[in-house]
Amino acid sequence: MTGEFRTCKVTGLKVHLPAEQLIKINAVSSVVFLLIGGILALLVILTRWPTVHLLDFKEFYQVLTAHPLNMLVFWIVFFEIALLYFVGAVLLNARLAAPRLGWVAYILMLVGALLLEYTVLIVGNENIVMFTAYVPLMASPLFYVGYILFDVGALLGVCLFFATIYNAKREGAYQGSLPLVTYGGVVAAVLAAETLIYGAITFIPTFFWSIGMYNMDPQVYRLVFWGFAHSTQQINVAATVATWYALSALTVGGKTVSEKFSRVAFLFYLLFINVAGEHHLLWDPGLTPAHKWWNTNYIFGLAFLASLMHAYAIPASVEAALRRKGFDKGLFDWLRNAPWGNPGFSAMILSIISFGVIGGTTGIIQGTEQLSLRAHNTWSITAHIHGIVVGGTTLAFMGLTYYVIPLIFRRGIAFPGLARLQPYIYGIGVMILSSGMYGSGAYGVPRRHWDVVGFGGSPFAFDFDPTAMFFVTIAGIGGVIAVIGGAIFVLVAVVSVFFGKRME
Amino acid sequence: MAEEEHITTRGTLVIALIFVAFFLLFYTVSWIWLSGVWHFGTP
Repeated sequence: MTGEFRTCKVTGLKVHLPAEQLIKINAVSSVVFLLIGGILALLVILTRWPTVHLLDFKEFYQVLTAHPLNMLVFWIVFFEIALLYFVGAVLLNARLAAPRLGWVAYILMLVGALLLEYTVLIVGNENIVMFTAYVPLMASPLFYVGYILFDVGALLGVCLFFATIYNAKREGAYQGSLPLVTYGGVVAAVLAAETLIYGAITFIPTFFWSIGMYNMDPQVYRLVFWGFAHSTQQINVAATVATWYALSALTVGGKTVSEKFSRVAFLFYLLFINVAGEHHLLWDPGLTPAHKWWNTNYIFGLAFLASLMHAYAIPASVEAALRRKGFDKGLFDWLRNAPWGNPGFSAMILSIISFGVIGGTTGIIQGTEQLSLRAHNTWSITAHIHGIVVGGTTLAFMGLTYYVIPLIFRRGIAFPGLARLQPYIYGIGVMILSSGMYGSGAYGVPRRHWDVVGFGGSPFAFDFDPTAMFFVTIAGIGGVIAVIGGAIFVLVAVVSVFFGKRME
Repeated sequence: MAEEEHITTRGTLVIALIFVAFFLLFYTVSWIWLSGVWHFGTP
């Protein structure tokens, strides 16, 4: 058994080698999909930017279907599976319960992802159904098979994480409560299990509908689809917050000022955040007004409270750690002397700002029933998701990668100067992008539209206020900056993993 | 027993209050804007 472990010379952690292999393959796969999704992002934004208007309409909708699949599903979920194995096995000094199952999960996810890439990017045509794939838009059966395989694979990965935690406790790998970061991972995994079950409920009947064996109700589809699609983002919320706690500890030695406070906040996520997805259905006549009222005014508020609690606890952990190091003068001496040149630290702070200030505030606004009616299907909604996931989750995961590469891949970070700049370029680019999206959406500019100036010659064309086009241009500029920041991350990560200086 | 170390986090508290003030302002402006009562832009 001991032959299956190595001891990390930096952290002293016992690293289970089969777990390390699975963390590596899932992390590398996630970055490959981030690269594909980033190229697609550039094509989307250069088409939505009227001055450039790069692609024709069919190519645009094809790329627009594939972009969120790569970013919201493949990049994020592969990374989250790597994260679960890391917080479950490595942080607990435990063995991964069943590495073979981890490989089965990985292969299923990979085959599912490749099938989706094939159906959307190579076959195209009927598979250009957008990320939502709303019934009655019918893709080919292979499209749904891709989703189902990916979903089942990810669910197996989550089950493996739970089995690892159970074994670690039984075998005495840790004493007392789970460490906070692993606890956050457990919350993310419970949300993931629920989400992936929703995924199965969504796509298995839709598959049978696509082969003519079942009659799919569009209303039911919309409800269960958002149970899956928005919940995937709620896994991200819990995983992102857990990553911030980890980055606070790794970058400045931060420790939450109150374990109970942080754990209760995670528990609030577990209990209340699942209703957030229904903000996509606030305009939908299928749900009763009472249901929407409870959802948006009460239950959703408790999830928001959880985010506020973490938003206090994590910066406070950084402040306390830096004050302990002697930066104790006045209110902000600690902030001035923080390690801003450490990409893990800057990524964490910019991720918190994007997540809270851009994504969080717009999420609350768009989760308010009356405002949702006005903002829905405008580019404002996309501003929220980009603030939360692209600026928040992705940047947090990028920050963690700067530690995963030396600790798991045992390689030094290549191009350290570029790595220092990368979170700023990417984070600021995403925030400019989201601000442009929010501003133009407030003027009614629709989301997903190929041509918001000429409307493709449609008789229903609309002349937007010129200010709206100013915001569209801001979004275009921000998007290009963000793609440059993302490309630098991929360059640094890939060169570090394959050619970085060997450590130990 | 060693004396318990007292570390303040009042800097974070100030940042949190600034954030709450920003949020309330943003929420109010969004209500006014999206309800159509008032718009920035050309007439």
